[in-house]
Amino acid sequence: MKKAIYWLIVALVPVVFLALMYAIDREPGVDPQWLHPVVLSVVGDDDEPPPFLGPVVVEQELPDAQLRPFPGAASGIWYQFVIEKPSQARGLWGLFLPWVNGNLSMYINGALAGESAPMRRPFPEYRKPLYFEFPAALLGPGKNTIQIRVVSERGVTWFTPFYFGPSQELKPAYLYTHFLQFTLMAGTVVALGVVSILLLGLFWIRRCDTGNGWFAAATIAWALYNWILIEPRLLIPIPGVWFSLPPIALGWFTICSAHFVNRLPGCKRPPRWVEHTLMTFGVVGSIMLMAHNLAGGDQPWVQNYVWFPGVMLISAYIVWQLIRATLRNPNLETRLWLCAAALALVVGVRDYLWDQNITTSGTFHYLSYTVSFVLISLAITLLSRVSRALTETETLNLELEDRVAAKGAELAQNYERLRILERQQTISSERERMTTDMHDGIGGQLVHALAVIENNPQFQPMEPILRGALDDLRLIIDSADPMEGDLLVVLSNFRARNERRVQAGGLHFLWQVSDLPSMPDFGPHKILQVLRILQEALTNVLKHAQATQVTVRTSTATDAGGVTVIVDVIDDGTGFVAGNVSGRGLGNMRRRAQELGGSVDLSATEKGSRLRLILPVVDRRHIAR
Amino acid sequence: MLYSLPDQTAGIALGPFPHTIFVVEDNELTRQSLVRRITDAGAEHKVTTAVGSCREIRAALEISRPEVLLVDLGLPDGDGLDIIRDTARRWPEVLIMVITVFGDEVRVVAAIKAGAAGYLLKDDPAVSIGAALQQLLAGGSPISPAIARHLIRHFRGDAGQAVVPSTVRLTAREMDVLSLAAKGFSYGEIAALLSLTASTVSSYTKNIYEKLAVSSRSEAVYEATRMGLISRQS
Repeated sequence: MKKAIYWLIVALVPVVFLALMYAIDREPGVDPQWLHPVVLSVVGDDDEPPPFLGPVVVEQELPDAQLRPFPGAASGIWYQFVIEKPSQARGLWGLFLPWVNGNLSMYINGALAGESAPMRRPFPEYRKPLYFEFPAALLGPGKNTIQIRVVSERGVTWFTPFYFGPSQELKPAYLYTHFLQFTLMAGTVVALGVVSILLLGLFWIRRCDTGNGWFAAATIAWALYNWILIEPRLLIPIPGVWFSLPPIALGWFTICSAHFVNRLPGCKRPPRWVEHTLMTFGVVGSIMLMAHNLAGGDQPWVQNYVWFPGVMLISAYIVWQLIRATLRNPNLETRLWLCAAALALVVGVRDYLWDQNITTSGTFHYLSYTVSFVLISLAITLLSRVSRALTETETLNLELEDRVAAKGAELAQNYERLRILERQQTISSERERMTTDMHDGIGGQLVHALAVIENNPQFQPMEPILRGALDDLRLIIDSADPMEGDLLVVLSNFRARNERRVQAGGLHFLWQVSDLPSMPDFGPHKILQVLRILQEALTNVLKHAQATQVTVRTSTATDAGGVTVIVDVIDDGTGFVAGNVSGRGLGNMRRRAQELGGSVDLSATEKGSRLRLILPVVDRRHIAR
Repeated sequence: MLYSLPDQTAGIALGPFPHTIFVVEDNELTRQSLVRRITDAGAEHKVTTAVGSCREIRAALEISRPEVLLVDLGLPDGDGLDIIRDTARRWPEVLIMVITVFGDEVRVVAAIKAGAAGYLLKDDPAVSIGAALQQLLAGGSPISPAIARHLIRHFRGDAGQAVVPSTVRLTAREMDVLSLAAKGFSYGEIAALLSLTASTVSSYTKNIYEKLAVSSRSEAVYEATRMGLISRQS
């Protein structure tokens, strides 16, 4: 449905445009009483009005077109008509020529009353509405003879039915046609010039976008075409060259546009020979056109049967290219350009047919006016490209920011990990150094002292003290072992250290442990507290309980306060005497347990007693929340 | 004193020749005490050489080799680790034990990497020393949870070491033994849990120690190669 509407628009745009052009290109709203459709004419180059006598005088119905050089060496033609001055005529009067070609001068009763430009070679050539204004006083009573001289450097003139009457009747119509055929055209020249400069700048900045370069060339060609149409002077005083320029410019505009369209995103680049052919046609056609005009051929057949048909074929090629692109990948750019190209093609064909007198509607060429639509397409194309580029840049920037942020976070994380590793490394090497020092120093000395006692029985009472000191030193060394939150490692080390003592005490060690939740932030100090509590508990069992076995059992409990780890040291001994509890070091154990945020509980069991150490699993993440 | 030896040792003759033991310990009194306790541990062990320096033990080893070498690490004229490393390389049949005050992971693992098969505490009573020697001669090694944990990390290759070569990877069973040992279970308990005998478990440990020594050597080679000390061609 949407597609159908689009193709309808493509078809309607030229129709609407032509309808609009025909509507504004209306007959001047002037009273027909002032119209003069028939004159007398005489071919001649005289600077003075010739006598309109004899067989050379022709009664001429207008419009009169001299499309081939005048016979002989003549470059001009005289027209004459006679009017009766109305009695009430006063103020300003005027001669209004809606469409002429050539340089004109007007004589009233044999005296020069006005000219479009001085009659000097090379003659300028006006192709726009002309208006000569003069005081009504110049007209004598009764019949007045008005003579008009039209000259052309190349011998091509065009003289249409004209109006002769009071200024207030004619001037508004003149101003309207002048606006249409001159002011608007001048506007297109300025707009095209500005756009071509912009495009050239764009091409200069981004040489890789050759499409911009081709379109800049196309707008320059079109600006040249429109400009020469409204420029009366021959800036190149060789008419064959100067008047070859508009068709050549129009052709090159089409050729450059084809190159531009070939480079539009969405259009398929044709094989190289296609563009080579276009360029060859352009160069050969231009030379032929100019040679033909210089040779002064009496029929512009190169222009009419070679150049313009070729140019129209190229236009058709452009339209075909754009239709294919739109069918393949309908985007805003190709759709717009298709509308513009179809319009230019249709209007170009209309102008050609009008030139060939196949159609006679309208009074001037319309192709120049399709500029507006092409420029709108260009503006929308550039704007959409810029906005797309900006959006892309923004997206890229956002992505980049995200990526930088992610990298930053990663870096921070790496740094943090490195810091932790470094800290662990420092702790580890420090621990190693201290262990070595203790090993070679106080440890070795304690062992030495024990050996001394062995040889000297009188020091025997010192042995348990020194052995206790050595055991405590081992406890400290063990507590420095980085257990990485694994309490089971601490318990295991404790067991390994004490296995021998337990066996020596005649007890059986029962080991009932399971994996425990990780305890973060459980450093050497806390480990030492746990080890001391367990050591105390074990010592109590060994010293006082008269048990046969000691069991270490671990479990975990979850309650409202969070997860706790429970370590039980259970014996099957004599139990305990309530009053003697403090003497068994329970106070010390309680204090240590409190430091860990936990508790110690001593209770009697069916047979023996149970010391329960309860430790909270502190999770930093929970605290943070 | 009666010994109930594990099954595997049934083939080892306890003939008239006692197992020879060399001791290196620099503190004279400590050395004497250690020798006395070894002697007390049983008649089947005999300390034939007890010296206090690297120089002396090297000289003694050149003359004859013991079955068991007990080495202290901090010697006045050198590092006990060098003695362990050289002995293990030249006479792999010699069983080496490191004597330490604490039996701490750092020292023991270093000794195992150098080639030691076990460790003794300097103040171990005669009973413990006797049991340890017996285990060693029967083809086993002692282990502590801390050492087991170190070994697990080493062989998993997550302690920052170079990747362990495939030839010295642990078997699943060996890993089981280590992981139970790291949880504080004794050889007897591990054996019961894995349906093995205690001596098998302890021989697993010895194997693991040997693998650690091998992988440490290859690690050293790797490191040296990396640092350009050894050319890749050699």
